[in-house]
Amino acid sequence: MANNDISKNDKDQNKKRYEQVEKLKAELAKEVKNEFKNVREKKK
Amino acid sequence: MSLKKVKNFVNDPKALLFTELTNLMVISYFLIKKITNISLTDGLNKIFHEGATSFVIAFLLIVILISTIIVAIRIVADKFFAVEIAIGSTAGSNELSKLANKEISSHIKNIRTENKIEFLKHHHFDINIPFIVKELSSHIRDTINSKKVKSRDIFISVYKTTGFEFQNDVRELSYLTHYDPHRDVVVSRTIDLKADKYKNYECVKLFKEGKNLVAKSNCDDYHKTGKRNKKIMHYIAFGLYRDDYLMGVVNIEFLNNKLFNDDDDLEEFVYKNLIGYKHLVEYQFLKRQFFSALEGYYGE
Repeated sequence: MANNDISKNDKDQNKKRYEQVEKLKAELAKEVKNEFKNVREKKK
Repeated sequence: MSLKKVKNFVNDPKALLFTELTNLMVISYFLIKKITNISLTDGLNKIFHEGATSFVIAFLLIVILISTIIVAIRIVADKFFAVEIAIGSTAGSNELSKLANKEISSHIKNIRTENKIEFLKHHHFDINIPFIVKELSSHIRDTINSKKVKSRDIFISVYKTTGFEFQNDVRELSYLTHYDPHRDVVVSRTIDLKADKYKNYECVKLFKEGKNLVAKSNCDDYHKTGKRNKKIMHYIAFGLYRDDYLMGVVNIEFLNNKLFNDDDDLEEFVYKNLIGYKHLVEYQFLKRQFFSALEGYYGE
């Protein structure tokens, strides 16, 4: 019977996705922060 | 020193300990003095000479005075300043909602600039699901708020029903992602929902019984099989549905630490803290299916 466990390749691909998530998260966090910064600056 | 700093100082755990211990000692002293007639001055006079006794008494009076001032400031500060609130971190949800809005903006832009409708291409399903799963894992740890629970103690895996995008017949679940990705664990690639081999899997039972939640606080029956299963203390599975159509399953395993006493405890935790994340994952599945239908509709 064929092995039904995820392969090393699946695991590597999964790792890469989380690396992309890290980058995306940092980018979004920066955008959220900038949005807030703009609001604060407008207030001044 | 600003007022906020003063308030923080008088409410600092060390300041609280200092004032409470001082109060306790003063009260205890007067109580003992009343009952036994023992005087601190007499006691000190037996140990030190008179000058030193005066110095010790003066020192103790200063300590009591400082403690009284701190307590007085605390009472005034608590009465007149804003109530101290614990602000939980919402950074994860900020970014997830930002992501959802950004993606919609990008879809609108693509409709206006491209001739061909390619919603599926621009929907980053394979990244969005891991994004939500990662945030879910952090959220669980933040919510439980115990130093005992580390990242490695939460294991999440997500499966989709094969061909759910095209609303194919629900026959099997196929692996989508797991978190933590750095853990070398054994995870099934596909789970045949109709095969005998998998009939005891909770996600299979969930499908067969049409449930959208399984919350097992006692996983002793898992401990008989597999190495990882020995570590599972609690288990949660969310069914991701569009009406009655099962699109996928989110499995959450709590490893190593017993955190919930019974199923009611675990279910309460799920309803209070995790349902929003289940909806976020479900939203991505729905969006995928919607875009697939939309492409089929306009693609002709």
